[in-house]
Amino acid sequence: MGNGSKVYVERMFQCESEALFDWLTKPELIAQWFGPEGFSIEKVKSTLEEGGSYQIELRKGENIVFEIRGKYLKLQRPQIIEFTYNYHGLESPPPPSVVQFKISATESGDSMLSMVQAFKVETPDFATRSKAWEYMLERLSQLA
Amino acid sequence: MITETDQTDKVFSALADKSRRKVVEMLHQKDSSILELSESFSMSFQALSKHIKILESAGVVTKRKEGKFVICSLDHEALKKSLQWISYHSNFWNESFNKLDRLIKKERGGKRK
Repeated sequence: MGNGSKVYVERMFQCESEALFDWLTKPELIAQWFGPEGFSIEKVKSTLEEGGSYQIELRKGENIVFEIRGKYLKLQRPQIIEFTYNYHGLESPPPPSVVQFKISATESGDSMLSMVQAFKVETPDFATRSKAWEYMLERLSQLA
Repeated sequence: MITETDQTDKVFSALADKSRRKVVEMLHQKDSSILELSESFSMSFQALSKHIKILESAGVVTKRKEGKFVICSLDHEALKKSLQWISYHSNFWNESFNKLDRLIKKERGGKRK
């Protein structure tokens, strides 16, 4: 995943790994959950193979329409999905990133999803000073 | 005219260098003169001044004169826009996964009936 800034999210889902893999890769299923509240999915296209591409068109309100596009870098059913993640159609897009989903089965038969989104830019290493980093994010959230 | 994208690119470009990131980390702790900063670097005063100039041109660092010294400080506002996407993306995925969780639970509930 390389160096740079990373976003980590971990979630437990009450389904088997195979089912979760499908939710994360099948266009008709992605269209049902992808995007935060207030966004709707206009279109999802995907060629699920390493080197294959995907395209997700999102809409927010009347005027904001943009796409997230990328290529699958690594696919290991049902454990790993890694893909590039690029914004198109926004005036000031976030920088390009690579997203990796790792799915692991729990003893109870549920699935743990670990997501890492790695941005191809580096930010100051506040992470080594976690208190400073927390303060910074707190400050950012107050300013935002 | 400098667009918002140009400015964001400038910030990322300024932060792409390890020494400049170190300057930002140090200024995050406290405002400092270039002389004070230079004590933590093995490079020359001139080389450090050049790095600070790049940070200044990106709007990340501002300078002010206090007596004989030029004091550098971090402009958190300038960093804000460039770092906003970190919290933006955490929210993006968390809210998406909330939806996914509800869908999976709903499907599971349906299968049990």
